[in-house]
Amino acid sequence: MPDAITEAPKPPAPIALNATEIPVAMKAGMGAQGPELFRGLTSQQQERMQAALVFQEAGKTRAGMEAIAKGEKAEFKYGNNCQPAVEAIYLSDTGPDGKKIARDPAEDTDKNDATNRMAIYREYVTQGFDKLDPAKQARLISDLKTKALSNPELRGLLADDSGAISDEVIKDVLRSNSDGLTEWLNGFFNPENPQVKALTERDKNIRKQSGDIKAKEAEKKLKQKEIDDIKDAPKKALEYDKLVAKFNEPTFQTNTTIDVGIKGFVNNLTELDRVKAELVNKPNNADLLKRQAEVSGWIEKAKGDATYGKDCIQLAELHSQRETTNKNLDRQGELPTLETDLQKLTNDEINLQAGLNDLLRERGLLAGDLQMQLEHAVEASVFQKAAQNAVAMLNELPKFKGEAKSQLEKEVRDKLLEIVGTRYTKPANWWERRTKGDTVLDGKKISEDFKILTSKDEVDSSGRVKENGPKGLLRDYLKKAGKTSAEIDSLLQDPAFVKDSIGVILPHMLTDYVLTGKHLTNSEMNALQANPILKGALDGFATELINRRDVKDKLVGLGVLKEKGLGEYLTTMDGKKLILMILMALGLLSTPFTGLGGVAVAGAAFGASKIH
Amino acid sequence: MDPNLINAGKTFEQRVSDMEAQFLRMLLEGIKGGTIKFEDGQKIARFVLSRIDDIKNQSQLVVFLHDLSEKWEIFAQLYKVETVRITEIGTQEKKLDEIKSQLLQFNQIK
Repeated sequence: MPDAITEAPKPPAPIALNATEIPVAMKAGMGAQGPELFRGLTSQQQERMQAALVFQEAGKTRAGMEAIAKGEKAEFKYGNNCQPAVEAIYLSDTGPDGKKIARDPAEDTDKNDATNRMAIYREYVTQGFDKLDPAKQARLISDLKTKALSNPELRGLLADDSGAISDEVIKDVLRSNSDGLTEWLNGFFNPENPQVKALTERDKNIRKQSGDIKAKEAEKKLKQKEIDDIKDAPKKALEYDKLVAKFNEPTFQTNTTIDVGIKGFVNNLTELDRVKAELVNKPNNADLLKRQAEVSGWIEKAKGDATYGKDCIQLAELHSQRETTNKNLDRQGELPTLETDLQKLTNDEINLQAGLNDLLRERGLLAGDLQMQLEHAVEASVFQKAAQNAVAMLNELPKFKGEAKSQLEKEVRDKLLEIVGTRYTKPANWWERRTKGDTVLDGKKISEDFKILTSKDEVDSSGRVKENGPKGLLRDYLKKAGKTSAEIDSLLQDPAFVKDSIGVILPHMLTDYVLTGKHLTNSEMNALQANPILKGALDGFATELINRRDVKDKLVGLGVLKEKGLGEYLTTMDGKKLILMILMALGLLSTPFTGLGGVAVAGAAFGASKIH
Repeated sequence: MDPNLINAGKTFEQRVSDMEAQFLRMLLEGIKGGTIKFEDGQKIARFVLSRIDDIKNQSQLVVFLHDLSEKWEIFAQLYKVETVRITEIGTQEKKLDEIKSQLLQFNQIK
């Protein structure tokens, strides 16, 4: 039977493909075996398959395997929508009065800055750090470095033992954090992001509130006019009567120097009213139309008179308003009610304005928060990744193994698990809340506990013994669990209980400890190793953790461990090194590379670690 | 699975290299045909890559194939073939020893 390998189609000579040739070859390779062969795969998976096929045909088996093995790159889902979303954060064109205002130039500068930043982020997450041009790389490096200088926890993650932060370390972080940032940006630009939703809701409410204010203003103006007209009515009636009396004065009427059109002005106004009223029913009546033109002509002529024209104009105006004026004269008694209505409208407007101010303030805070988040996106994504690793790590933590010997012990076990879950956290400050949620790790508390755990009993000047070590720490836990001294003494007499409890507490503490950005020093690890109970907990933790299939796969996947060599590691490596290796592989050790995963990074960290 | 996968005429390194090519072909065909999920293919590729360079002799190869087939059944046949092969080699070596021994005895008689 022919050898299956020799039957495989191969080109006459192996093709050496370099990085730039691969995409070309992949494209060419798609001709005969197009993407339809890989239905059901994502575009990235199809690319991997095509690359693997090309490598296979080129006789480059290893490269083909690596093409498949390579991890899936995170996809920036909102790449096309992020620009309008960024602009929407900065869009505040409504002033406190609800009217449109010109944007503050400083705000425009901020918006442009955010737009540029977003463009770099987008390029970075889609193409990777190394593909960015040097200026953009430099901006990201300097950005993260600057932020690390003002953020102790970030500094703790990035600084070397001397406290310095090198560009190379920042570059390594940025190289390995592209997917982390993608994930962060996907969360940020997701329309379901509660803060983005809240901002959109505020904008909607601001528009509605501005509209309500405008409507209330119009209503108020009408009410004010109504009040003014009623108040003016007696004055207008008096003026009208005075002018009519003046025109009807006998001397005025008999004065031969005054034009008849002026002397008959009041009658003409009345006559014009009569003609107009008749025209309503007979709109085409020629006599009436002729009469209307005639009388109107007399009236207009009188208005133009040099001596009496002004009086005629005023009289005509008051005459036209006399019906309304008479009605308003009758409404004088309504004034107090109308004034109350006006006051109510004014109050409503004030309340609406206050509501608008609140909305604008809330919007400003939300927008400011979102702007700040965007500005801190890279560092936030670094922390987010570390937190995810921590969760994964905590999920792997061992639980109590042995059976509880008494009801008291049973109660205490549950309580200890509860306490250890929250003991090393504290409320976040304002800045931390932006990036890490409501609680953060309490490094001080962990350090205190770590010190108790790794110290020997102390005797003070009065001869009293302060219990340290595992029992000392457990005593404190048990006090927090509400146990009496007698109960605690009883529990601590059981070595299995002490060992089991420390086996639960220590991994939690260790994880939290390194996540605060602290280095596990050689002396600290030696102190842990020196205590038989702690050493047992370390070894047990390491063994249990590393033997879990998914953790093992992860370590192997990262290239930190060779599956075959695992047994050897377990037999030759002590708990300290094993723990360190796991922490580094999972990106949890506080080296300059902490939290950033990746084969090269984890490997480099292991090699460079000061703890061996 | 072709039982003649491992060509006896090749060096051990060549055989391991051929086997790696076979893994790749199985992966590509499996993913293409839908019998292997891409994600599983990734795990298999990573597993193979993490171990294959450490295989220096026949027994390590068998152990590797055993572990591989325990994780992913599609490689069970490969493991079986290699187990049969090592038995055959053992039998052949035994026969050779017998012949050598007989020749030696013959020479001594002579």
